[in-house]
Amino acid sequence: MRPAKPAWAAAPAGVALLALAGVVVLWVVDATLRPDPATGGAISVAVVAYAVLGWLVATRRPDHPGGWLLVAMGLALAVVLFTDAYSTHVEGLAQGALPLGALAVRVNVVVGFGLLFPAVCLFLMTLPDGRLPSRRWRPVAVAVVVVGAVGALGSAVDPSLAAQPPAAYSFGLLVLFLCCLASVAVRFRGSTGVHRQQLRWLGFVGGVAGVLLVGATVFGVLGVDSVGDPLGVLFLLTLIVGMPVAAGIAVLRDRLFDVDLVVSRTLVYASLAAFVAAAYVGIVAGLGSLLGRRDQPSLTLSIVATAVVAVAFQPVRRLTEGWVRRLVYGRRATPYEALSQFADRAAQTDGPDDAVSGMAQVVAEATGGSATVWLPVAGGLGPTATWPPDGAAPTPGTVPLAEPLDVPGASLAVPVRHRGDLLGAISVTKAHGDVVTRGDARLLGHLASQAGLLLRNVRLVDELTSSRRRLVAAQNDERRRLERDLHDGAQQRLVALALALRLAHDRAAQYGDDGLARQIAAANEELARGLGELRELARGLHPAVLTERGLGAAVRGLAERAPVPVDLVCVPGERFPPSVEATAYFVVSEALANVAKHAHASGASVSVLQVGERLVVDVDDDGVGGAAPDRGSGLHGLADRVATVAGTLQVASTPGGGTRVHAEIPCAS
Amino acid sequence: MRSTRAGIGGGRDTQLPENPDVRAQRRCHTLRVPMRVLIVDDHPPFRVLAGELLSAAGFDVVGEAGDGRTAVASTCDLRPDVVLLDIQLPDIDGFEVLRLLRLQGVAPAVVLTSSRDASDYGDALATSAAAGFIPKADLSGQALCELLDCA
Repeated sequence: MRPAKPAWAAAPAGVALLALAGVVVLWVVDATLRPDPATGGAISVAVVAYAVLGWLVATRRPDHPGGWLLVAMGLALAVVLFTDAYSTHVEGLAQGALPLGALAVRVNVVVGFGLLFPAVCLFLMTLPDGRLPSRRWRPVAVAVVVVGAVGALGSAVDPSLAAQPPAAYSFGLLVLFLCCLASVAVRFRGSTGVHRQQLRWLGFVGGVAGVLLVGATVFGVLGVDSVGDPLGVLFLLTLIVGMPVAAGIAVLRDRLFDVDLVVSRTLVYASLAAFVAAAYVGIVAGLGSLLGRRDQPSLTLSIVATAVVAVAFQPVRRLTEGWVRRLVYGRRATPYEALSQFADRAAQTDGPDDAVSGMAQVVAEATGGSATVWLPVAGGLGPTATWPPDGAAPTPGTVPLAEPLDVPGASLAVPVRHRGDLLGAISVTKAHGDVVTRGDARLLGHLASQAGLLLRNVRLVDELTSSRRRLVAAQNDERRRLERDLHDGAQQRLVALALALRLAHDRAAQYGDDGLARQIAAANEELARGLGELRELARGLHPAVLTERGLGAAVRGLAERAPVPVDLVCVPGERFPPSVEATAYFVVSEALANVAKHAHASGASVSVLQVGERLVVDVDDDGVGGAAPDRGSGLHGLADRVATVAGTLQVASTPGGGTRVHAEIPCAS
Repeated sequence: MRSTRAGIGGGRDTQLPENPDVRAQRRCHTLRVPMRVLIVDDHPPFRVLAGELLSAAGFDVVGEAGDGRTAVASTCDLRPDVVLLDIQLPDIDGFEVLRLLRLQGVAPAVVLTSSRDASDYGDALATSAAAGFIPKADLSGQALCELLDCA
């Protein structure tokens, strides 16, 4: 955004508010000037709305004429009102005692013709994009300025001309104003989507004003003032009150000028300031007068007022914020909420699926539509998560992984990239009749740029998980192959050797060579120990019984070989996928090995039980406890191993209270 | 002949005797007709050595088989008293051979053997119809005799 120049817009807006203050002062001083409260209030609100709204828009969007024209309208309206009231006051109640009455009359007409009229016309013609509808409208715009200037010059020379302008001039003004209204109508007819929404209330107000103006003029020309005059007043009121309301709706609800955030904040703080002032004044002055001490402000009441304001401030602020948020965003989350929610979710997600559906949810809440997150699948991008789950979704199926994205059925789709890689896309589908605003598009762009990192992480986690799974599967296969090789090769040869030695031993004994027989027997014992070690090694690599007879048999074997008595609470009879069986087996095996090595236990119990789609493994002992997975024991490696099959491992071990190893392994086959 | 589980799980405890009374071993069956044994293993050197060992201990080794199906056929054919049956076989495993034999109504005493440990088979040995289990490296005439309770 360009550097804003608040001062340039603040000065005229400030003058407008000062002039309005002057008008109010005059109303207070001179009862003859006082309008009825409704009209006075409406006019005041209109001036304040034009000035503040214009100032905010001009500050945020100095490139857009809308803000400047609003400021100009506010300024002109306030000056016209003030000079009118002042000159009337000078001539009436003040009896000429105040200076500059004649000047005020001139300023009134000059500003009315030269500023108010062109500002209103140009504001109508340049909505909502700040440009004329087309080049053909340029002469109209020029004519508006020229006719305004002519009117200003003419009435500056002779203010009486303003009250009774030549008929041709009045007719010119009328035609030009109707042209401006026609431009709004033309623009509304030709607009689609957000622009149409932004224009609809202005179009409505303009249309009503146009009808009233034509009616007032026609009746005025016909000389039926009893009808024409009220119509003229109605026209002015419609214009004065209806225009800022319509512009406000367009700015807040339909994000005209994209200043909804700053305007809503301004509304909050203006309301709060009003609350503080009202509460303070109400308590100090109101209660003070009730207590009959109007002459001197009471210190106690000031303190009470301050306390009340301080206590009530936060609740009121929250209420006001909620109210303004509903007013501006309806059910949507504000862009700021959306972005911060998104960051929170990214930090807290449990896993890739969660992250992606959370992303869809945040986008849906921020845009008020339904959101779909697309991730790469075979042949393009596939819809991965949609929020709300039953919301309107784009046509299912894949879309080509190419730019620009073409997502059939989506109102808006943006690619998600990280460091140039297209990682996916986010699409928003709005309900019929709702449109994608500029703010939506920009917010979606911001979310998409944040989502890049998140989707990159999702992809990395996916890749990491599957590569770990592949590694463990390959490791299992390799261990099984090694065990088989050991069994079929070295073990068989050594077994044969043992038999050969036994045969030799028997022969030696048969021939009475006891020394030789003893030697051979000793050699065979050594060989038996070697074979035992080899068997242990093979078993540690991958127990054949696990492959051949399943987890139950393998766990029974473990329990049988364990050096402490093991109570087998339950073991499964059925088979599970190899990776599940291997993981569960090594959990029991490692836990029992720890029991033997560290626990000094008198017994242990093992339970392997399928609960739903999880295989729950528990190994308890009654030993000394104090085991911890992070102390470099085998438990840490075991936790990694369990994690590769998306399982969890917990170790509960209190010193003196035994150890429980608890693993849960998904076992849906 | 009664089927005993005495040897199951005790196989690893079977040690080569320090001072074996070879003559006692050799006389294991001297008072009766020698037991007829079929040796089933896919490893030829083991078959040869086991045959020699058992023959020396007084068993009558009537045949050998290198896989499970041949083992079933040979058993039906030769009607041995004892089948020394390796569990790991190239086609069907020892337990399956045992089941097939029972299905065929042939009921020799089947002694399972393996280069693995009894505990490596969990409860499969205990629940099988085998007479017992001897780890391969512990195989001797005496071990077989003790298992079959024929001393």
